[in-house]
Amino acid sequence: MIRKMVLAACLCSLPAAALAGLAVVGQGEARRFDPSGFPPDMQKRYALMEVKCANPAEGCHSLGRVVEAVTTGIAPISHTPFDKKAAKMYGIKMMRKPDSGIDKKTARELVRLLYFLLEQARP
Amino acid sequence: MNKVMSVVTLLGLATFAVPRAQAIPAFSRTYKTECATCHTVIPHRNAFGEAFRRNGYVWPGAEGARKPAKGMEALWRSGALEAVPVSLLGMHDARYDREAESGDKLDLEPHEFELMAGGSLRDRVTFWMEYRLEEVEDNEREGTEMEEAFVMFRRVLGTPLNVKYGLFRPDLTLWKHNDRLTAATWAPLDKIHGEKLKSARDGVEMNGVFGGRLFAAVGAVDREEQDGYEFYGHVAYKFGGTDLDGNEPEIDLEADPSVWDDLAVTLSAYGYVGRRGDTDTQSWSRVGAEAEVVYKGVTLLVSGLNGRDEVAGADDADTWVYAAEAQYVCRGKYFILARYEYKDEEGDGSGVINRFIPAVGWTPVPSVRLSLEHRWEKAAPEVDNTTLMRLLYSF
Repeated sequence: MIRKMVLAACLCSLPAAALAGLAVVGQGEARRFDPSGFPPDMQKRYALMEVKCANPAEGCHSLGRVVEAVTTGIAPISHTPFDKKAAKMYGIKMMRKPDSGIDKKTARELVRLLYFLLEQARP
Repeated sequence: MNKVMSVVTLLGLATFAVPRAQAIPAFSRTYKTECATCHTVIPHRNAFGEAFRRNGYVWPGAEGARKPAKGMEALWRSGALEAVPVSLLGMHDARYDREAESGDKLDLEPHEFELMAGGSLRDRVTFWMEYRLEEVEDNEREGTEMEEAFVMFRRVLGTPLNVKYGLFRPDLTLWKHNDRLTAATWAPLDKIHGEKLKSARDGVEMNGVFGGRLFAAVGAVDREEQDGYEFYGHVAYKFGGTDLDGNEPEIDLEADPSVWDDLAVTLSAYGYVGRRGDTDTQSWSRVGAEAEVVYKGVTLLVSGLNGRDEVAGADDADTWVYAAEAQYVCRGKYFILARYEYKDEEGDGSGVINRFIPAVGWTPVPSVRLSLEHRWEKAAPEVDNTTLMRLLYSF
């Protein structure tokens, strides 16, 4: 019985990783993408996202929220579709948030990363 | 003990009035999001927070998107909430008035708690309740009191119209009584010839956002001991920035930065027609206009109000109130503001009150705020100086 449950759990988790085409490490809110397979420019943008979007000292959100949005296609807070249009909207929202530390150039880079992640998740 | 009191005295303390707040962690719990989603510094709401409030505590743009949690389907179908959305707000004030008439220069009161609940039932019917639990010492209100209790039917018959019914504060001004950062009440909402626009009233209100940029509200109020009704209206239009439905503006991220990326201007006008007394009634009215400019962390609000009051056995009173406030919120943790208010309650310059209020504040965590404000008020020939420290928290 236990063996069946383990097998079922493995089968359930496998499609998500395979469909996503993105390597995810960690669990829950601590989840993050493994950028080692990203092109160099995307690796730079991912490093930027880690600093600008998930800085706990600034009270920002976790990267786990981005992972969930990208891999499920649903924004975890609003429960609305997370596609390229939504990704740009979030980029603009964070850019316009006072003291977010995200200027227009940074927002542009982050949105490009989100586009890349979405394309990888749903080729 | 004296040393402790001296330290507190140095911090400067005073009480003016007690703010209501819709900074309610119950919403944060429901949507599992940060306070900063809706607030700059509690309880002041940002553009998205205002859109959330206007939308009846339903996430803007996400009507019907939320699904019931596992095992909660029956509750969901019944229109009941998965958890009781209740929050508590606590406030502790301390005031320092060097020339207090009572001789009590340092007054470590009042302490107040408010019970608040709000939410939406399947995004169709929403509710808000605010109940004051403890004593308030402002010479007008004491004991417990229902501050607001209303329901709102959203998007009636598929239209943008919402219908609010119950005990509520009429939606009249851009800055609400419950989202200010000072203890001092915003002058246009405060008492003029005994009438306060900030007061909650029994009534019915229709409101809605049209085209994302235009807000309008009309309402009728049934005052106690009156057979008739009072009426009001409010219209506002927002240029730039997050629209009134909470949508971000369309910005070309490939283009060079522009001042318009962060600038938002809202213009507003409102009017209220009321009357006092039950037999020999006297009418009163208020007409006001406002402009709010927001650029990044800076917000500027200017406001003007004209009031007319019938006075038994005398000429009508003609009141003018002007107010302006500039505030800056830094890193979501600190704020600094300055407000100037002018009130000529008789309209002939005989009873002019000038008020200047600077304030600073800090939020060690988003749900806790410590603020310090000073009020300089000149009502010739007297000048009043009071300083107040307020600790506010919500959970």
